[in-house]
Amino acid sequence: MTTRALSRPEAPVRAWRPRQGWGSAIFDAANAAVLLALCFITFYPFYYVLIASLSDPVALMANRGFMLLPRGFSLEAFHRVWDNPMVRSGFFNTLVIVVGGTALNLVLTCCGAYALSRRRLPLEKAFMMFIVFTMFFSGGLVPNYLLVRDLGLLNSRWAIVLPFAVSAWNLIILRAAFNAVPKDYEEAARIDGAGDFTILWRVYVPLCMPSIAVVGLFYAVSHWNGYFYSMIYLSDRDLFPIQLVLREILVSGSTDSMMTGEAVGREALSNTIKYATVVVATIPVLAVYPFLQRWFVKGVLTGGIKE
Amino acid sequence: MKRVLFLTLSLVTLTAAAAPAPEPIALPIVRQPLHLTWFANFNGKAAVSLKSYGEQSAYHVLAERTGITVDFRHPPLGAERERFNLLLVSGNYPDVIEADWFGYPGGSSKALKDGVVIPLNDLIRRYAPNLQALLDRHPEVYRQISTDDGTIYAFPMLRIDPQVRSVWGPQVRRDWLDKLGLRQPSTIDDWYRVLTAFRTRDPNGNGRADEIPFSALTIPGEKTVPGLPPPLWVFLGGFGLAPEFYRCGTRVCYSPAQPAYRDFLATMRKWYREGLLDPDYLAQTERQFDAKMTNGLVGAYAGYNGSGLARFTAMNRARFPGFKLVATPYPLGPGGKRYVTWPEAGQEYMGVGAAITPANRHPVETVKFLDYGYSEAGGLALSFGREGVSYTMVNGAPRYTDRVLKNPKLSVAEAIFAHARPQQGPLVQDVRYLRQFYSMPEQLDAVRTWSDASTELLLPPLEVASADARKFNAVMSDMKIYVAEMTTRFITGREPLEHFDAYRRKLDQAGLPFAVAAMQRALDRYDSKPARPAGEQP
Repeated sequence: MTTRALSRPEAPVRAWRPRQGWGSAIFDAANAAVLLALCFITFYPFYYVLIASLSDPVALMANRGFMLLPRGFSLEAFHRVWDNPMVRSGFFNTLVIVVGGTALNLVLTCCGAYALSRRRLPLEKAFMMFIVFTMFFSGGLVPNYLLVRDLGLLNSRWAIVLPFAVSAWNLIILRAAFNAVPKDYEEAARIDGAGDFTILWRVYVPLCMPSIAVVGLFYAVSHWNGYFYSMIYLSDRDLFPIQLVLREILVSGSTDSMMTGEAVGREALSNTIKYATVVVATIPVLAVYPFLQRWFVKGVLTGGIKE
Repeated sequence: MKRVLFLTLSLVTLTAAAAPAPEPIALPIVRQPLHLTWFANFNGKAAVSLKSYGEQSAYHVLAERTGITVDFRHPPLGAERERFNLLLVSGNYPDVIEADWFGYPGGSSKALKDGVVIPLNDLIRRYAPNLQALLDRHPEVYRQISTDDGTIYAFPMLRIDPQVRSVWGPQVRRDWLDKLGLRQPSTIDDWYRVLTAFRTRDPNGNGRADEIPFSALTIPGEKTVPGLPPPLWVFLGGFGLAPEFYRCGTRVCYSPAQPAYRDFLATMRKWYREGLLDPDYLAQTERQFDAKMTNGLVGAYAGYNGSGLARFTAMNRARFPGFKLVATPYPLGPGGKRYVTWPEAGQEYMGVGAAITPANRHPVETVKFLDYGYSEAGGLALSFGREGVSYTMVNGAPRYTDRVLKNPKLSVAEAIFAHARPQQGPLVQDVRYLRQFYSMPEQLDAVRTWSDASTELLLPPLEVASADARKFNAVMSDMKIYVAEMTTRFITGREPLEHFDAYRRKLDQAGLPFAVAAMQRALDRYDSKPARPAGEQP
C-alpha cells in the first residue's frame, strides 16, 4: 500500500475516463439535458408571468416572441392590484375558507376513515361501495344547486365548504393509512381503558400524521384554487375568494372591451394587471410548500411495538 | 333628417299621443318604501369602485324621488350565462330580471311561455306614459321589442340615435395617407390603390416592406360569419352585400350565395395574393394583432371606437410621432350608396331589457319605476347620476363634472360607472353621454363618419318560428361549415373561382332555399306587425 502511494509520480499517465464508462456518461449527459429541458418547460410559464407583470404595459403588448427579461420595467400593475379592495377582501375570504374548510375536512375525514377502517363495522363493504360510487358519478350541477338552495346556504361561505366537507378520494387514502396501523395499538389502548374517541385522537391521528398532512395539503390546495363553486353559489361581492376575483379580472377585460371609449393609456395596463394578479394569487401558496416539507417524514411507526 | 328626428326625441315631452291616455306618473310612486330585487349583469368598470349598481348616485336619486330602492343581485363577472341559467332552474325569481332575452333558450317568446316573465302590454298602456309615448313615436322600436304576436316582455335598452349605434367601423392610418399624398379611400378601387401604396411605398419609413396594408381579427365571443373575420365585412358593402342574411328590398337574401359574392371573393383573392390582406387574417389571436398594431405595422383594419381606435391611438402616440388613426367611411357600393355592414348598427334594440317576473307582487309600481327611466328627468339620473355631484347643467345640457372626467384614480369609464350606467339597463342611450365619454376628437369624428351610411341592408332582430327552428338550425350548422371552408379556399386561391357556380348549387342542395324561406317568413311576420301595441290582451 505505502509503496504504491509513494510510487504514484512514476505511475503511467492514463487518459481521463469516466468512472462508469463512456456509455453511461453519455446517458447521464443526455438525461440531464432532457430533464433540464423539462424543468425549463415547466418553469418558464411561471417565469413568464412574473416578468410580464413587471414589464411596461405598452412594450409588453408590442413584444413578439420569446421573452427572457421584462420589457421595460413598471410596478404600476402591482400598485393597481394592491389598490383593488376586492383583492384584499379576496385574500381574507380565501384564508377563512382554507383554514376553516381544511379543519372541517380533516376532522370529518379522520372520523370517517376511522369508522371505515374498523373490522367490526357492520355493512362496511356496502358503505365503501356507496362512497366509491360518488367518485365516479355525481348528481350534476343543477341538483347540487337546488340542494344548496333548499338548505338555505346560497350566498354563504358554508355553501363552498359543507358540500365538500369529505372527499371520497382522501377518505380512502386515510382509511388505508389507518388500516396499516397494527391492531396491537388499539388493543393496548383499550386495555388501558380508552374509548373510540381517545383511540382515534390520541393514538391513530398522531401515528398517521404524515398521511394526514398529505391529505390536509390536498384539501388546502383545493380550497385555495377553488373558484367554481364560489362563482355558482356566491352573489355578495364581499364574500368572493381571491381566485374568483382573479378570474373576474382575467375575463372582464375581454368582455367589456368593446364598449369602452378610453382615451387614456390605462387600457394597456389591463394586460400587466392580469399578470400581476396571477403573481399575487400564486406566491402565497408557493411560499407555504417548503414549510410543509417537514411533515412528510416517514418512519413514525417504527419501534412502537415488538412482534 | 334622422338627426333632426332624434333631437326632437331627446327632448322627450311627456304628452302621450295615444287615445287611451296613460296616467302621468305621480312622484313619489310609493308612500311606504318599497324594495325591488333585481338580477342584472355587473360590469368590470363598475366593479372597480362598487359592490353593486345600487350604490350608484343614479339609483340613490331614483330612490329619493320614487320611494323605490333596488336591491341588485349580480352574478360574478364572466359567470353571467351560468348564473342566469341557474336562476331559471331554481325557480325563485327576483322581482326584476335584466338579461339578454334574445339569448334565452328558445327565444323571448319562450320566456313568456315558461312563465319567467309577464306580458307587459296592458301595464305599459296604463302605467308607462313615457315608454308609451316613445313607442308611438318609433314604430320600429315596438316591432323589435315585442314577440311575433306583439307582446312586450321587457323594458328595453334602446339605441335610437344612429350615432350611439356606430361603435364600430373601418379605420386607416391617416399619417400614412398624408405621407404618401393619398386621400381617404372611398370606392373599392380606391381601397386597392391605397393598400397597394401602403404595401409598396414604405409608409412607416423603416426601409423594409414590413407593412401589413389591411389586417383583420376575430374577437372571441363576438358574432361570427363563416370564413370572414369582421373587418372584411366592411368590403361586402362595396358589393351591395351584408354579412350572412341581409335585406335586399323586401326580401331576405343570403350573401354567400349571391352572384355579387363572387366579385367580392375575386377582389379579396387578388388582395390576398398581392399581400394587401394580412396572411394571418383568419387565425390570429388578439395578442398577435395588438403586437402588429403597437409596432406600427398595420395600415388599415376595422374595429371598435374605444378598444380599437382610442386604445391604439393612446398607446402609439408616444411611440410613433405623428401617429394618427382615423375612421374612414364604409366603401361606396353599387348605386353610389355606402352601406353599414355591422349588423348591430341596424338594431335599436339588442335584446337586453328589464323584465318583470311573476314573483313580483308590485308590478304596477315596478312598471312606473321602470318607466320613469324613459322620462327626461329619469333618463338624466340614469345616464349622468346626481346633479351637482357627477354632472351639472351647462346651457341646458348635462355635463359630467371633473370628478368624473378628471378623476385621479379612475378612468372616465370607471368614474361614470361609479355614478351611473348610461350604456346599460332599461333606458334610451343618450348621445350627450357618448360625446363626453369619447374624449378624443378622432372618436367623435368616427361616430359621425360611420353613422353617415345606409343601414338598409341590415335585418332587424328576427326570430325563426318554432316550427322552422329545428330544421333551420340543422341546415345552417352544416351550411356554415361549408361556406366558411369554401370562402377561405376562394380567397386564399386554393379553389379556382370557376367553381363558384358549383359551390352555389351545392348550397341549394344543402337546404339553402328552406333557410332563406324561414328567414323570409320571420321578416314578413316582423314587417306585418302593427306599428303600435294592440289594445287588450286576450
